[in-house]
Amino acid sequence: MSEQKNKVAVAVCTGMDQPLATVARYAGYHVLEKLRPDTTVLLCTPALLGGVQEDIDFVKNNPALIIDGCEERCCEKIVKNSNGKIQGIINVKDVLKGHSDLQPESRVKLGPKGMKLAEIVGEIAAKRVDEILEAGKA
Amino acid sequence: MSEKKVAIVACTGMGKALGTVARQVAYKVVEELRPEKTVLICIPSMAANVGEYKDQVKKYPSIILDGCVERCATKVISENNGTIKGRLFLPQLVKKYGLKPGARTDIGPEGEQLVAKIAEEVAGQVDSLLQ
Amino acid sequence: MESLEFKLDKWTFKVPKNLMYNENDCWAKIDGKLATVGITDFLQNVMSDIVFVELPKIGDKIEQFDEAGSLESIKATLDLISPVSGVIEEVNNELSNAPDLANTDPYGKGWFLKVRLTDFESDEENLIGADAYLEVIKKKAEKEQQRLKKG
Repeated sequence: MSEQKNKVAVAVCTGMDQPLATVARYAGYHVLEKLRPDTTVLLCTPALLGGVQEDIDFVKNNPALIIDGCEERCCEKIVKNSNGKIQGIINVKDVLKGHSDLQPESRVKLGPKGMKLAEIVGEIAAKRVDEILEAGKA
Repeated sequence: MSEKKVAIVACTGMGKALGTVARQVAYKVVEELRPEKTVLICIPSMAANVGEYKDQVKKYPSIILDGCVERCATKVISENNGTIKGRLFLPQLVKKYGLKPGARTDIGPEGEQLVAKIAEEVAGQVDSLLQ
Repeated sequence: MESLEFKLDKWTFKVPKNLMYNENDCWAKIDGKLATVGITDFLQNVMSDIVFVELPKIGDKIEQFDEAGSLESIKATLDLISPVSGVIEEVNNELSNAPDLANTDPYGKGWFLKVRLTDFESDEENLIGADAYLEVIKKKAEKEQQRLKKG
């Protein structure tokens, strides 16, 4: 028996190379923990790669929102390969274009500007979550 | 003669604080402690065929940092024909060092100490592998 | 092993039908006069990665509801509350080297104790079956949801 309400799977790039991947990571946490705790489930992208069944099953059966860190779109590719139902994609690099004063300090420590950028990405993601769930009701 | 280096592979998982710790350890080793002797592997990029990570994993021995019982980094490197020469299971190191990380968004002072300890351990393993 | 299941977000909590449970999230498998005891799938999920298990000694006498060891995870330390009364006949020493067995296989290789039962007739009155335990964890899961989500 399931007690599931509709929720959106938020998948984040979790990359190690670029500072914007770290921004994506914190944006994902911001959506899940602060902005939309009741309507989102955080997917662990490495877990999809590692064959963790609960993540694989969830991404197949629920709408997914991607937060990618750069133009390589690794998270989008990984979720597609896992037969995820992608309903929204946000790219941190695109968001940065509109907020060029918010460059993160480094991939290790974002600093206040990088954290602010993460919050903005999180807010965009939260609105997208609402839209996805609204579209799902129609 | 091929240059000798060690590939550092952190699970970078989102679900638990030890995923964040693994990430920080990898950065500390590659940027501060052994920058000339290590390469940082980005698992999502490798899975998406981006960059040279697949080649690096085949070329260099790997030290894995797994953040939870799923051991995703170990599985991914094994599937990509990497040679695993060191495996650190971070939950065991929490017990070993008596240091518990805080939240996954802010690992806190104990988490930072844990990062420093594990990074030293990894750096030692790097040195042993390259002797 | 046939199990009932409860799904919450991406987690599926398994409750094997052939076991008995207490409300402290321990299970007991009764084989005649011997009970095998462990922690449930629900508890191992809530605890997160278990890093240390302390077990009682062979020969120790325990009563139902006594503390029969403890487990430490990266998040918390918890006492194991015995579901049965008896004498400790065997402990799972594998948990010293691999405490994460309690996470990966809570109903199998992650068992904690074997107890030679002394008063199961009384103990049984305070144990519940799989259906009732499923209801217990449904209530707990809503409360624990935020803790589960925080990893």
